[in-house]
Amino acid sequence: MEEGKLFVVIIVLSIILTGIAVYLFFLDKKIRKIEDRVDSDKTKDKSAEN
Amino acid sequence: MKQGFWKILSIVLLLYAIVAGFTVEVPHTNIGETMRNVFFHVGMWFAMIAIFTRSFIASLKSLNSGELMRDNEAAESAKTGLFFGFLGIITGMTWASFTWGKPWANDPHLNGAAISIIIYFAYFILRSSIDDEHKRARVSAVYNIFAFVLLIVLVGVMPRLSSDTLHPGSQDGNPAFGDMDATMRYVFYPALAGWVMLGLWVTNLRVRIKKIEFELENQEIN
Repeated sequence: MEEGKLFVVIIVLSIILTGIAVYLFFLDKKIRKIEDRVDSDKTKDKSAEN
Repeated sequence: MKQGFWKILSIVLLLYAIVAGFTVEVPHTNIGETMRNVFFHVGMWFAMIAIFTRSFIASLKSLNSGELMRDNEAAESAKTGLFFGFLGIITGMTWASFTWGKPWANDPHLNGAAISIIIYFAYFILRSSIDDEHKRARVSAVYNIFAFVLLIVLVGVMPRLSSDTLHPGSQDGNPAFGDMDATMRYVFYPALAGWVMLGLWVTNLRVRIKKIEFELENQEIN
């Protein structure tokens, strides 16, 4: 393990996975913001109709 | 934050799968260290089946309620499911090249998976050939339900009935679990759960983007 330096591969893969996770969380947040905007537009339309 | 708990959990499980997947003792067999692929390759198939299940449920609801968004949900899920299916095939072929000597051994698992992928491809060809969206929703929902049943038969049933498969554990039950070493299971099950949740998360993002598009289009019509 120590001489083969396999732990470096584990560290690299963990960094990649963490990076993908952070990216997905940002996407998730971004989508939620747009969802909120679409939702508020919808309620605005409804109040305009009434 | 509460709703996001399973997303964090999936990442934690996958980090565990990477760390433990490389460090756990695997039994000494003729496939050597490539045994560790099982933590990653099999996860693709479990994620795919979970995502296609969501697609299947959405199609049932679409037929039941006639809501167009349900049809969109089924289509977006099927796209994500196909993506994971491709990853499963590519990783499997890579693994097979080194252990079975060729990327495509005539194994019932491989052929079943390939036919399932083609069946889901046909789903999108069918969708694109129908212009009327209500008609498209109905026809493709029926096809998708049919496709899911075939997927279960081709991936879940047929390979187990076959006697000449290279995959493990076909005679004694589940081909994915087989007669796996007990310590490997401590890594394998969390890894599968992690992949399934990651797959459903990506599906969730796709469906939500489609929903935004769908609502914006509706607002423009109104």
